[in-house]
Amino acid sequence: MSIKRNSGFTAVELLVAACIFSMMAFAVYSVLSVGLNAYKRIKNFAGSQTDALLALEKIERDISSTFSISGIEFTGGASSVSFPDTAAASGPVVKVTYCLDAATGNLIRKEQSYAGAISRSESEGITSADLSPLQELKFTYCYYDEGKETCEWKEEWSGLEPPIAVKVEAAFDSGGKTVRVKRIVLIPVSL
Amino acid sequence: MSITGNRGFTLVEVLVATVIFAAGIVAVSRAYVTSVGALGIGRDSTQALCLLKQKMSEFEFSAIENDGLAAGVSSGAFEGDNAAYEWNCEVKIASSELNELDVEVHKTGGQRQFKLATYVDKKK
Repeated sequence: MSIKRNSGFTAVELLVAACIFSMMAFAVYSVLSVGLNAYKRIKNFAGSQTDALLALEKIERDISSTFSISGIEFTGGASSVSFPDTAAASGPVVKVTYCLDAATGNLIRKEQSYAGAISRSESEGITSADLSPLQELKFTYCYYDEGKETCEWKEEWSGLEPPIAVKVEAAFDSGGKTVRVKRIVLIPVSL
Repeated sequence: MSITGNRGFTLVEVLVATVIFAAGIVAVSRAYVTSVGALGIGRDSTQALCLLKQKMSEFEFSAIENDGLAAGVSSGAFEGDNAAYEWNCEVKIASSELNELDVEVHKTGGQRQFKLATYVDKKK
């Protein structure tokens, strides 16, 4: 038997090799697709949850660090609130607004410079940022009723003095499930 | 030795190769299981922390509403979607003016506990 007889692959050999290759490829693909599916699911339920909770955290911090200053009122409605605050830990005074964008369902944080806020301009010095998609957002405001000597809640607020507390209720979608979060934010300057 | 001397793989060789391959597969699938488990733990922890903050803010507010909190212990479960979580609250005497407020949240049957403490006015 000479080496010349080994002239190439036979059809059967090629078929077997192709079979083995395709089985391997299928195995690798199925592992990959399971991994991708898991990744998608994780991104869905962990991503939106952390985004929404971080946004709420930001609302809480901003509201609790508000103060009263002439020129910027604390104005609050059922699903939006605006109040004076500092831009950073010791930054300039700004007017901060939180509201829900009806078109996109995103929570929006707007910051308006003091000059823009006291001139009551709609556009001057405003920077706006999308925080996170929310399904619902509701604010209620607490004040101390001198006559009844109790804390009362109301739906709207307007005035230079901030309320003593703001209740924030939010709902967001987390992997197809609606998660509801409720927080009472105390405002130290008016306690 | 002619070309027919190359008889193929022995049974032992095939077995060894299979064992190595199986070990690899087991390692990969175990990594999946571990990461999915870790994800569940992470989600539960986030949820527990969120509920803990909510409960703490409620107690802090009730301290302001009622001019302080009296010493005592209370506990309960959350409602609705969060029925799997329970909370414990303890108010202890810390000084002549202040009480210590400890709030703890855990998942029913779970081992992880999340705890926050603060000081509130004593009930007058």
